[in-house]
Amino acid sequence: MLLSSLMLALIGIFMLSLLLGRYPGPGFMSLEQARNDTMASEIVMNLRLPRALVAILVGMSLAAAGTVMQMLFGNPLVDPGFLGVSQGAAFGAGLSIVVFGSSPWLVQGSAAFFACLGLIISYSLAWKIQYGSWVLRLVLAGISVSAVFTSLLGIIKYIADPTSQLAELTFWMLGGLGAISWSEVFIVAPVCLLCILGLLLLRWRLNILALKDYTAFSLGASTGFERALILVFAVVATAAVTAISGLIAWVGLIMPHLSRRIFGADARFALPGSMLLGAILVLICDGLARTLLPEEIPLGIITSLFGAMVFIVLMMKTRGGGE
Amino acid sequence: MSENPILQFDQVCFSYPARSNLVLSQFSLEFSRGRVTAILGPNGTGKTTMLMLALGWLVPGSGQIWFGEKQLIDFSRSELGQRIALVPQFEPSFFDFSLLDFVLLGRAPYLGRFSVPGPEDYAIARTALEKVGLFEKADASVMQISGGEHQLVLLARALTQQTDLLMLDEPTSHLDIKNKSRLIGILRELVKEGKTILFTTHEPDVAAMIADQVVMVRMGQVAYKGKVEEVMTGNNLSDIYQVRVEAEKVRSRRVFFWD
Repeated sequence: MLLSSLMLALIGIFMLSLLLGRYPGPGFMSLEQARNDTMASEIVMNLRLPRALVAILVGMSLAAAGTVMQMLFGNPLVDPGFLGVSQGAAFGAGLSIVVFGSSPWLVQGSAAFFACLGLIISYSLAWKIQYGSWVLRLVLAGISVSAVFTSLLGIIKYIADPTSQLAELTFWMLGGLGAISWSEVFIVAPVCLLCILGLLLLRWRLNILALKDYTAFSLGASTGFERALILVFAVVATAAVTAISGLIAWVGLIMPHLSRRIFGADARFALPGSMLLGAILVLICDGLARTLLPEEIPLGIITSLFGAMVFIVLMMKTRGGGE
Repeated sequence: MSENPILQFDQVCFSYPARSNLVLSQFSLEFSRGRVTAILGPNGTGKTTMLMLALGWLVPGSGQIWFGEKQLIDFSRSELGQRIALVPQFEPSFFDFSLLDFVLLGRAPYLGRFSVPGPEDYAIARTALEKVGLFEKADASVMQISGGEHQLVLLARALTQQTDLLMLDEPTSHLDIKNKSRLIGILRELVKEGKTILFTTHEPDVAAMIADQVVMVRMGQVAYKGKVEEVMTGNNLSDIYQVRVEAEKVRSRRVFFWD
């Protein structure tokens, strides 16, 4: 089946990515060398392996979150970070870099905290908005909370030291996995895996929850509770990976589209498909990011480039009604 | 009206939050089991609100709604989904499900939150598609079918819920004559199989063609109810719609003329 072949492809690319890098020279090292050269096996085990695992987690989480959010909001242009999460994380990282100090732990903690805060504010604001349907209220709340964080981040950028802090903040916002070690894997993996598992278990139910409120209700769904549960899974996973990787653009927006083209709209297949595609995309992009130039290219730049190209191709190859 | 109503509104009052006017006031009505009831009335008289109340989606401010022997509020959501199905007026889809996958969603009330449909569910969905004459198109996308077919797909989804009561909100309003005739034919068959059907409509002709019972609603209250021949008179319709309507019988069919 298609899903299993994607799974095999992911495993293959994962293996290859462990051998890819700039040691001893740019390109792939041989299996022989990975086994016998102490330096090489050290690099594979402690640098490339955790990094590849995080790349998979980032890709899966963002693509899964994008798929479920696009379905819940009935809007194919929704990005997983739009509920205040991405901009909240960026503000948190900026605040830490400029005010509290730029140790990785502080930056990640602050980014995670403000990402969740962004969601919580958006969600409670949506309850208070006296206008429109629930979905529209969430969208409006997400847009306004993101805008507030963007402005606050603007102030932070303005007061940041342009030579050191601003550069670091900009680099963080471009996204990258350069600083990943095993400790990040141990902290983020359980959170992401739990959320992903929750979403996978609810994969068919998602189709119901994507219908109009009263139709979903008439099919026996507790729309409010179930949608909130799914949103929490999606956003927590997004916040967790964003905190350690920075803003990785376009993965959560484009992979769901590609997956629906391949597997159809039914989330039973589109969701796992999108997760596998997301993981493959981020693995490949990260491989390129750390190999192409002597200096590492920020991952977010490469995913944007790839994502935008895929998007253009998808739009030119419309299938009937289009998405 | 009948000893054993399937659905009963008892002195129901309802108004939407933040609006003072009552959409339904002291609304009482019984729906007989195994019959077709048409609900007629001008725009904004509370017909769709009535369906939403019967679905349990809206809750009355006062009064009760009974399904069989139990009040609606005493059923769980999946229990309701196994008893009452709704065919909405129109339901745009943003994602291209195949007709089969879309119709399969009607199985949700029978499946747990974490379940996925099995072979039996697929068989039920295929039968429903066959019933509405779209079996051949099972793999087509919901985004690529005509408006008439869309209505039939929504009906098929409701059929996979295998409920006793089927409610349709203005089922024929977007259909051409051929599709209207097709839909009416299907509804007739469903009644023969023992389903209870309740539908709102703006078209007296359609009501006269298949309804056993007609209810005319005005300003949130029942104005007239009874058999087609008794109730669907020119005078009553003129009164309801505030425009001159004449009813005549032509070749055993009731036809309506209006100014």
